[in-house]
Amino acid sequence: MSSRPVYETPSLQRHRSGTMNKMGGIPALRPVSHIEGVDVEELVEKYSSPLFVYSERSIVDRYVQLRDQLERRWPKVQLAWSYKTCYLDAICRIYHREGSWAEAVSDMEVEKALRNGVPMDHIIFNGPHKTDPSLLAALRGGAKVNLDNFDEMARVEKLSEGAGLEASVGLRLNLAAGSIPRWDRFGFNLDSGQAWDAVRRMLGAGKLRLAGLHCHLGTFILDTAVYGEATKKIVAFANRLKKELGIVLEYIDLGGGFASKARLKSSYLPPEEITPSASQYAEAIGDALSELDYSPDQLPMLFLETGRGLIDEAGTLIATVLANKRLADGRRAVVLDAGVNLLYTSTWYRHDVVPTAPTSGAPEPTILFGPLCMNIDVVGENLMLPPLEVGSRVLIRPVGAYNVTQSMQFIHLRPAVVLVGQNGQVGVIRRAETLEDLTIGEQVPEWIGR
Amino acid sequence: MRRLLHSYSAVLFCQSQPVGALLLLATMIVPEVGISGLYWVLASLGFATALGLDRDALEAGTWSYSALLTGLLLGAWYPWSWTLAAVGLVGSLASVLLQAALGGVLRTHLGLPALSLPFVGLSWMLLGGTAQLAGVELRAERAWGLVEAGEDLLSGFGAIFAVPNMVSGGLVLVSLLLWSRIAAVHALIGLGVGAVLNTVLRGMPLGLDALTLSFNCIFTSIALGSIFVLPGASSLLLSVAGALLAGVVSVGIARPLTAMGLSPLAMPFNLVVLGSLYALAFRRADAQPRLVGVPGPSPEASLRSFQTRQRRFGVRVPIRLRLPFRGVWVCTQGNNGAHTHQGLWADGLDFEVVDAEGKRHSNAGSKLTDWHCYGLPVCAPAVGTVVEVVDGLPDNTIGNVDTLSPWGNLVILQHGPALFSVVAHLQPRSIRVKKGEVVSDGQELGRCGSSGRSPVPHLHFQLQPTAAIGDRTLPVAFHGTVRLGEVAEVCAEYCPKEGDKVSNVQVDPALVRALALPPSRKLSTVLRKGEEVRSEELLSEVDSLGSRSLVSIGRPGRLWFDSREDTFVCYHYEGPKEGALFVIACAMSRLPLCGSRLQWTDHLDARQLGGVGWWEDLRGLVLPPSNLALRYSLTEEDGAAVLRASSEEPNPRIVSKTTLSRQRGIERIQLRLDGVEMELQCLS
Repeated sequence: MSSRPVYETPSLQRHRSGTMNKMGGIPALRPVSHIEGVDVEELVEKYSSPLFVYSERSIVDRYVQLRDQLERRWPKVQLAWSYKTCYLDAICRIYHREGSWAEAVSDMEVEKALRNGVPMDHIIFNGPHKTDPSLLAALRGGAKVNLDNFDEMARVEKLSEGAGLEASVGLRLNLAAGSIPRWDRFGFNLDSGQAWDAVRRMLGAGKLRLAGLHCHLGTFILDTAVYGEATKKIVAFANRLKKELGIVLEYIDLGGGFASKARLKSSYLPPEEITPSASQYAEAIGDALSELDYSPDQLPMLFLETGRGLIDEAGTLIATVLANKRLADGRRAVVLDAGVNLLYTSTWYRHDVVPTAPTSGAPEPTILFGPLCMNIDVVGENLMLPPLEVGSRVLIRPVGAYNVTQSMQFIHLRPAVVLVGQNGQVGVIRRAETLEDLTIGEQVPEWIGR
Repeated sequence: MRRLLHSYSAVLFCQSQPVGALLLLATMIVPEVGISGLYWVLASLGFATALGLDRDALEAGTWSYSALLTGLLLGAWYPWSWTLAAVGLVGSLASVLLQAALGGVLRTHLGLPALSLPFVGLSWMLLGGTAQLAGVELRAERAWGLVEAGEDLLSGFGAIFAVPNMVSGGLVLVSLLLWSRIAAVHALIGLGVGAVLNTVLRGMPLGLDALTLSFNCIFTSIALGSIFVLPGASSLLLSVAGALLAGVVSVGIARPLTAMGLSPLAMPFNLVVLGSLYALAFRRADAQPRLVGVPGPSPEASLRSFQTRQRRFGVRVPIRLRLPFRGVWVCTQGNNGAHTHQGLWADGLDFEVVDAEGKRHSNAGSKLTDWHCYGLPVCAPAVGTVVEVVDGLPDNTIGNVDTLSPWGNLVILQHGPALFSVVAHLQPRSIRVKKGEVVSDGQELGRCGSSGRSPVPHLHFQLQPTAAIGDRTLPVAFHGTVRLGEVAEVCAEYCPKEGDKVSNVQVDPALVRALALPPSRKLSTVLRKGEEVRSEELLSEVDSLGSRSLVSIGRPGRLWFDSREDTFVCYHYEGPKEGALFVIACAMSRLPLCGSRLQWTDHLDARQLGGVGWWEDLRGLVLPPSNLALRYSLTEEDGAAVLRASSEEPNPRIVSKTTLSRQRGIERIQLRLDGVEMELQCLS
């Protein structure tokens, strides 16, 4: 920091009466210069900007916290890392090292999990599109395959019969709970009786064994009572299966959907106040599960496939200010080197944007643009930010969930991802891409010529 | 032949063909007596087989040893005749029936062995009655040709087999020594006590002779000193006291029995041993001398198996006790704690939950719900019956206590005659069980609260000898507890101390299934030892008592194991010091069936590995046994559970690596024992 006085560009701001209102106060921006004790400037110097940074400590702490909370309420608990949330090998292996299974929703994800040393019988295979070869391998290896629809059921029956397997499968259910949108495009509907029909249909064919029930309610569910209500419905269904059909389930999989401390654009209150803690989710689920009419030695395993709730806060994106400008309506705009190509989730979430060095000048509503030559490339609107100098860094967070897996090589290549270890060590977990990476699959047919 | 020889060795409480052969030889010193005994044994074996009595007991000589003794006695009293042969047939049938009936009653209702009561009873009936038969004469002298009936000490041993003679006595002593040094020591103690009594007594009462007195003392000493009581310093005292008592009883009952026309025979021994065992079984606390539930093949084996069991599994609490909660909790007040676990309640335990920062509550901790443990399920520590429920007392506000009902809302479970467990300070109206209900271990009883003498939410646990609320506490130890620290350590038996983070083992159902090894399951294995490659077929069996074992088809050896809800454990291995069973016994003596990273210590009986002489047995009487401590770790590698074991550095005797598939069970065991590499591969 130089001690020279800094020139502040004068700006005109509309007068606002009162800074506090029901929308929340003006966030006091304290600069954050370090991530897990590592200097941001040093990281950028070494790995360039933009840069995704993950914290191993945060990953492990959140995982252990959720697992412990659940284990205190249910005797058999197994978390499965939701691969799609972030399937970088290093990240997956941290979860597997801590004892997590893998939850995969495509052939590629199954393959990736196997490559990460996860045995097939520790993979939960969900999703509406599973190909025949991968289904067969999954059934053979004892993966927990959750069926999505009647057509898939018929296909699995045919496959397992052809291979001479006595396959066990789970059924994915959807149901109405609380006031959240119903995700009825996945699985069999419980409320309409479709799920019961599915079980009867499966037993009738006599080719598959029902091992478990799966239900993923939705995403970013802030009301834990919804989990309680949904779990109670599933438990009632399981009790009926046992009583009327003699089916004893091996597992109940309640999917994911736990909220992180990200801030939904529609949310009035700050996430610190509305995001439930791990113990609140665990309590809602545990209480509902205890209604299960099973003897203590045959209680089913509880699977959870929490993704966002575990990893979102572990990820930070470092970006650099490229330019400042004024829009025609007088709003201040800032151009960053990271845009929606890296921040897919900025469509729904209003990420925190924090400068890394002390700033001066009054904060005013600012719109953040990314580096794409596209009108849609807006990272954040109406963020109260002080004037940011060209070349200064900002931290965008939490961005651990989905952004790395959904980031794309559009206009710009994808940046490096580094991991800060539990002892402060820094390691690259994906290097910055080169043109080679982008063009590796490309071919030019002969007739086009050189 | 096996059954025959075991009938002889069974008299000395053992199952050994060489011992049986020596004893057979000892009876044959006087052929008339010996042949009579042999005749009765063969007849009784025939009857037992024809009647379809239990085959295991038949092999052990259980149905025939009484007939042997009776036959020997009749042979000694009466010379050979056809009438006597007929008596032999009827008598041996009667002996088998008496043995079955009396043995069954004593075992079922009193938990006692039949000893030689059937023999005594039958002999009393036959000895008098036989003389009334035509063609049977009582022998005038107990002397048979060249063989002299001795009065010396050694002949006392011979008297056991109705051949009171130095040679036969010597053979009996040799066979005793051959079988068990400890038993031989006790036999000599009994002999000594008998000799002392002989010199102290001013003449024998009518109907009692020195030899009868002597063998009663000898037998009582052996039985109370080594067979039914764990050998050790205290059993030595019991052995001496028992022999003295047997002598006193002999003298005491001789005259009244003679008046009834009966002789004492082995009755004093039976009375003293059965009386002592019955009396000792009434003790509640674990105390010396300890009774041996089911006698092993020898006193040495009983002692070693007890000592190994104690090392491996602990003996503080007679039932398998699990922590009364789910997941990881922390002990906030241990035994003899600073707050309330003092005096009569010194063995109580308090548990709470802490977060990653080590705090017991969130926010300021001013509300009950701020406390992490508040509202968490509290579970049954073991199978039991609900004998007391208190519910409805309010939770205290933070910092306040209810001293009128210090235990607050509680559940008391009964697990045994004088073993009750208490979970206390539960949340009002959270209790899910009713008085009289039987609960299984791990079943939820209620929720953690803060009722009673509880300033902040916590769970209080204690064991006590009665169902009374507030009774004094008994020592607690949990089994298969995971203690979290630098590593997660599984403790065979553990009483948490203040600050310990503990949990039960989290079971991996797939591993439980993979290692279930149900009876009749076969395992095809290939064993490599250096250049040698051999395939072995293993078979899982279960016996009539429910004990499970693995045998190798067509090869000697048996490995007793159990694969229960959360642990695979090898109890005992008998057989050659090589082969597939031996490898399994060495490499996976104990394995918690869970998926997480764990470490633990187990102890192998050093005798199992060979290289332990019989002097070790005598040493074991006073010193702890030289077990081999094995350090185990369980990790996850390439999709399989990998179990590593190593005995203590430097130069570990055993280093092993076992790969366990969750679908196929044991896949591969690599074992290095004393520098020899072995590799076992399971094909199916």
